[in-house]
Amino acid sequence: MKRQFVAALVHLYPRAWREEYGQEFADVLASRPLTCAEVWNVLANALSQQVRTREPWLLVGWPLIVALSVYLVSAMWTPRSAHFAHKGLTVILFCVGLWTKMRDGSGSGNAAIKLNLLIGLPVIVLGLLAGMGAVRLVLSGSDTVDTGPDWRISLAFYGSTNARVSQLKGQMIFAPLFAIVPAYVLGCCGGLVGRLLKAGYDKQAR
Amino acid sequence: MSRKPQAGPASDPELLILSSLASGPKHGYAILLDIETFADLTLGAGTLYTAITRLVEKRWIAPQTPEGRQRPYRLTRAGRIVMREQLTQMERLAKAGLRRLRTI
Repeated sequence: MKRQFVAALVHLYPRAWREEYGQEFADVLASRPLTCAEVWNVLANALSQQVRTREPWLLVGWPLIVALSVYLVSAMWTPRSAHFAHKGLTVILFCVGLWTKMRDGSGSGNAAIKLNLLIGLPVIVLGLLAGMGAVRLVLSGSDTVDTGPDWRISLAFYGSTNARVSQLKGQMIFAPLFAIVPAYVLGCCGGLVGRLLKAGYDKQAR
Repeated sequence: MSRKPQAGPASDPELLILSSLASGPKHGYAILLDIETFADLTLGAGTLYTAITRLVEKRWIAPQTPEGRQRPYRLTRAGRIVMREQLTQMERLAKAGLRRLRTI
């Protein structure tokens, strides 16, 4: 029983780390009493190893998908502004570029593209559902054209609040693809700031 | 009974591991027991292996050929230099602090 629990704890660490240290780490854990403090210590350090080894765009991407899905579903009850999501996404893409540059020293534009495609998934799904007629999108804004009650959503993820509903479905499906170039530019801008900050830190360290 | 590490340079897991390996190569569990003995501190297994990972990446310690299931680690030359620098700095700080305490 304890062996299985230890194996489950070790499994929380990244695969590459497990291959290097997993066996001896499991032996050390198995040879000590597994108190709550010890388990908490393992959980905290497993998280820190995950953060150390994973790409920033992946670390940011999955929680964002959850947050965005909640945001979309909550729009069933309360119409949501697209501008908030649009501005938030702009900041996040910039920050991921900055983080990637400061961490690895390269690939900030590509990291922003990958994040853009990843967090575009809930939007694409909603666009597909709307296209199939499973849900109805309702715009609220200056150019509201549809007042159907099914899905009270003002979301147009990439700043297209003023689009007509018929256009919006298509936009939502392809929006992450259209946003590749802006995402790349934002990531590169973040990377540029990251490079300047890194150079400053390195200079200070010397 | 050993205590949990408090914040401060003397309870830094990396320095504790370096100090433990200064007396010869040891595997993970032996390092934990040694730290409990000489520093009266209990490190969590997660903290120990996170610190070991960092030290190996910095090349301050190096893994040796495994003995059975356990793999011993040894202090490298770079690790010895860093450890000496840190301990000397701590010694200087401790002396200065204690001298000032006596004047209070």
